Amino acid sequence: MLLQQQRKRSRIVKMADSGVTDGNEKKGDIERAKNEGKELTKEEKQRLRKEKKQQKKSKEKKDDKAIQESGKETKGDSSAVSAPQPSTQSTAQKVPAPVSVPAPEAPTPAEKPPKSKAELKAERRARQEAERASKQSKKGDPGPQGAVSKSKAATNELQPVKRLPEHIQVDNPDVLKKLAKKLERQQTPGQNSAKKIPLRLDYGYKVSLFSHLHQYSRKAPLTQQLSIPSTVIHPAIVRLGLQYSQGIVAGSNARSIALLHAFKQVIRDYTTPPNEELSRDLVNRLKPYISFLNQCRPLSASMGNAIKYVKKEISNIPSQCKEEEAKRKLLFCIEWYIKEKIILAAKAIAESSIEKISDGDVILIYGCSSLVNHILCEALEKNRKFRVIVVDSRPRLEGREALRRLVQRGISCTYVLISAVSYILPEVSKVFLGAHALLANGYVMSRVGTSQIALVAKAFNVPVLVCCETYKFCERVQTDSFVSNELDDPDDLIVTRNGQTHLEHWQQEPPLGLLNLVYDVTPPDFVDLVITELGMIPCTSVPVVLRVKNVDQ
Amino acid sequence: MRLPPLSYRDSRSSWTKNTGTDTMELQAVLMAAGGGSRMTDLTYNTPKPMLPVGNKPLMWYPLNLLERVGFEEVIVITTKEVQKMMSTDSKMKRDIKMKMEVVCVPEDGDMGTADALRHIQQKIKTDILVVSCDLITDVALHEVVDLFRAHNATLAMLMSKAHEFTETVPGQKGKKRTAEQRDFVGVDESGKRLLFMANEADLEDGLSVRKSIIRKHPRMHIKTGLVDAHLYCLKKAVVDFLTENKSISSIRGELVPYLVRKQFSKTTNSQKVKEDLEDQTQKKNDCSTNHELLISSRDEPLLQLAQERSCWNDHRGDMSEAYHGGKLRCYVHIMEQGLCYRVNTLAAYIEANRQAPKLFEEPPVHPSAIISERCQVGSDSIIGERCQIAEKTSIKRSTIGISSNVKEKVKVTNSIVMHSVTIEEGCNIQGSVICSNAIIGRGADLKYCLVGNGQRIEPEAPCASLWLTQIRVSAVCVRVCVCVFVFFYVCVRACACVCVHYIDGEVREHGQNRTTRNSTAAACSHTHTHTHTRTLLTREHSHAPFVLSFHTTVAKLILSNRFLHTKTCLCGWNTALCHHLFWISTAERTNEVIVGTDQLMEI
Repeated sequence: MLLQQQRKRSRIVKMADSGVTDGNEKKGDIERAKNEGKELTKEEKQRLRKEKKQQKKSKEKKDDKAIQESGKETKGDSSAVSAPQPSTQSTAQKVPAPVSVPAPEAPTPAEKPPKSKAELKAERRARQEAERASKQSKKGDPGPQGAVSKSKAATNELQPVKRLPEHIQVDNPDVLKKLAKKLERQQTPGQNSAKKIPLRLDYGYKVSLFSHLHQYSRKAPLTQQLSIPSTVIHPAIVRLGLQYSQGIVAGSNARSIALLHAFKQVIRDYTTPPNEELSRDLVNRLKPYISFLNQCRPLSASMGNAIKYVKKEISNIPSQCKEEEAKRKLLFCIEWYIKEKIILAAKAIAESSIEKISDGDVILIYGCSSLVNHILCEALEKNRKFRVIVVDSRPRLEGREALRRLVQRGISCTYVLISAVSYILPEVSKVFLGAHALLANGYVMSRVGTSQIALVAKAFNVPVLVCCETYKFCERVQTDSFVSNELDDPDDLIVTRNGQTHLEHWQQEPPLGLLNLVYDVTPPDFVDLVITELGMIPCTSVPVVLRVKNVDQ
Repeated sequence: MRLPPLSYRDSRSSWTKNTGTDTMELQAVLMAAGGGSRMTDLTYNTPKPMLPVGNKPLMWYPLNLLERVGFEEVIVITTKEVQKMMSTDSKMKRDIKMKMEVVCVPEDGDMGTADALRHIQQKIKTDILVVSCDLITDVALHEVVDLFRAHNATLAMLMSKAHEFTETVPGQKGKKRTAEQRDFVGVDESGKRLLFMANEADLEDGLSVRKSIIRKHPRMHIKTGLVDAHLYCLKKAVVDFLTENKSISSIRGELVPYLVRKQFSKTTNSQKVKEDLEDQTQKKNDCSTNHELLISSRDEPLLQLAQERSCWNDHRGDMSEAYHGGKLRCYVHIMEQGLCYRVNTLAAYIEANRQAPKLFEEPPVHPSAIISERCQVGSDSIIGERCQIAEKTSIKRSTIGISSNVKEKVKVTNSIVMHSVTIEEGCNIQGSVICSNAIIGRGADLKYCLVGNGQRIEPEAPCASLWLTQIRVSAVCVRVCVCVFVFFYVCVRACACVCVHYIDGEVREHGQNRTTRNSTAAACSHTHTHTHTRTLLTREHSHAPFVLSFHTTVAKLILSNRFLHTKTCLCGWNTALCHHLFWISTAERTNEVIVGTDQLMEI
């Protein structure tokens, strides 16, 4: 009985691992991919997604904390745990074979020897985990609760360590320590500790609800702590990181393209050290780079997907492949990804969305989405007669750039700030929005303010169309903008007008906090249509697309 | 402002082996071949890079700066002489652990900094960071390099607010420091993009800014009062360009203004377009681009795509894309606070010596120095290795060089004492610079003096006083303004007078030859020397101590020593413009030491 419980726990832990699928934390994924073959991972993920949704619904009504936890993909219910039991049990114990559920094809890796090294490792790990869990539960609450609740408590206690991605647990010093350790670990062993990627300093002050998020100051770039001819990190990556943190490369698409470009440089300059395998060594080489970039600015979902793709391609390279060829292959793959997933996708989206633009339309756009700009320019070339209203908001005022690009093409535009949106909406016939990511529950993550626009548009009965390439689809689930978001430099909110800066010394005012949120999520109720390169779909079909994508890959 | 200890260096070389990457980001180049033409009095015997500042050779500071930020190797461009001294200098050996590749350039050749870069072109594999050897700064170097990185700039440089040197400089008086020509530096609204650069000397009537700049950057801030720190990040393409274009010889004088100008010229912007349009014309372009700068990076189209998709722009107010589509971009980081000195004048040298101790964490008193217990050494003073400080001595705000010997009852305030100097009993030294190997006789009283290398000040000079004189010497047939600094050190036994003369002569075209009125007659009278020059001085100034005759090609100094029983030490030096300096003395009964720039004669 006890053994079973332990197993159960270990399973939970495992699932938690796979649950953490957001862009930053792929370590678990990769390890497991190594251990068990990736088919399983995907299935597990899908299953998990379903569960999560259910739980979300049940939990939404609970208090703040509960919401937060649910956002952090809590799984307290033992019933929910027991659901995927049969399949996971098999994974934890014996052969890592995906049993049942929707996997139609999937060459089962059951041919593997029953006691592989990886498997042994997994077992050992599970045992350790279970022991730790039981210890904690004993210490934590010497339960008056039953066995089930005990296990629940155990899982609950495990959660902060195992489940949440680190980037939303900044307020927990243990997690920070872990992150620092992780950064250290990522370096080649045998290196001096001075050569690890430094931990970027936090800004210091945070608005109370958001203390779990990183907040960096633009004035303290990570390069401050790096040696100057950067030896640890490839120069292209350093440059990219700076461009991210200074906002020179901004926007999901631009960031992904620039990232892939930098990866190309890295791969080109890469030589496999003796006694190493390219597929392994290169992935390890990329890891510190990615955590460096993540500290420059939290990775976007699109970048997460791109990284995932590159890593997969690297690990797919057979060990007997010659280095030159492997590199060529990888470069080609990256080129292909950019072409297929970004450029051609934009083209396809433009084509289908032009159908939605009819003569005489007044189109409202918000901020500066490269995709929406592209669509509008294409529509102009197709001789559609339409007018654009560019809505903008502080502090970035990206709408100005969108305005410039559109006006330069000769599109007639109106420019208003977001505060005037309800005034302008009666004359609007369609709202086109870009997206940072589409989440698995159909929520649209985009520049902060987007949900407001969608809400007002809904109130005025104006159709809201979200344009988004499928590579920005994300398996994460989020129902609010608190749990996982990005905090930009609060100093951006300060304005200097006529030589006067009113908030210059805002840090000295303890009751005052400045919050510069970057994203918000728009519930699917406000979005009428999502235009992707696969066609026009409702928000709620995101999981379907994701599933199809997973199967494709 | 203490800087963090060295930390990046350890086991770095092993890493490069480990990772097998040969991508270097930046190569450091240290320019240490300059002669120090603006402080010849100090560099007469010691080349500028080896001048002691805070008991460390001057070039230690930029090297340390590079090492501190993480460079593991550096190319040092210098002269044979400096190389020899470097190899013997213990500080350099001990403190600088990075790999130094020393490249020697001919000493007397007119090699500019750009020429030097051309000289080492084969060694340059990637973008470079050029530092001058006379830079002492605590700048956070990443600020400059980050500009270079983030904007993919062609040039990124460091500038600093000009410092007012408050200390009294030996041999200088009043507000005569207008010789420096002001720089006008135009930056954009962010204060980072370098748009415009002009020197006062090049302007004939007013500042004219090209229309192409104004059109692209309607708001430009033009700043003055900035000092160029001579620290440049340059793209490799610039070095390639230099090898093609041999007419540029100096980085600061020619290359930087060229690059800044080129940002807005048509050719660089349109060239790329041309190449894109027709591949066939590329060959033709290649021929014609011999003298053009080609800035391009790998995977250009991809980068451009990223830039296109990015919702960022460096400016607003017009319809053009970020950077106005230009590929050549120059950036400048202007230090608002912190230390930044270029040690190229005497005043800067003195100031740097005051500030240098703040830059590094070292005990001000070297452990091997022997200091008697009954002496006062201020915490703001530095005592070098193997110094001997005797009893009842007080040292305040001063630097005492290696192996110097300070005897009893000496008072040293605000002074710089270089290496192996002996200061005998009862001396009082204030605000002075005493070069290496000098011997200060017993009881000398030096105020705001500059004592040359190996000079000896007679003992028993009970009342030494300083004379700062500025004599304007007008000379014939010279169009060019020549500033000649002459420093006389006269020790006259009879009246026991130490006199330092500083003649800031502005040689002008002038009909009459006579010294101007503001020469200090008093100083002269003390020395009781009679001087005479064949061409220049009128009789009314015949009691001036020395007579100088400057000519652009032939400068003559004739000393006719009618004075008796004097012993004259005479140190004179001139700028490079005075090629010939004749010293003729008719003195018979004197021991004169005449020091010229290029010779040392004893009569």
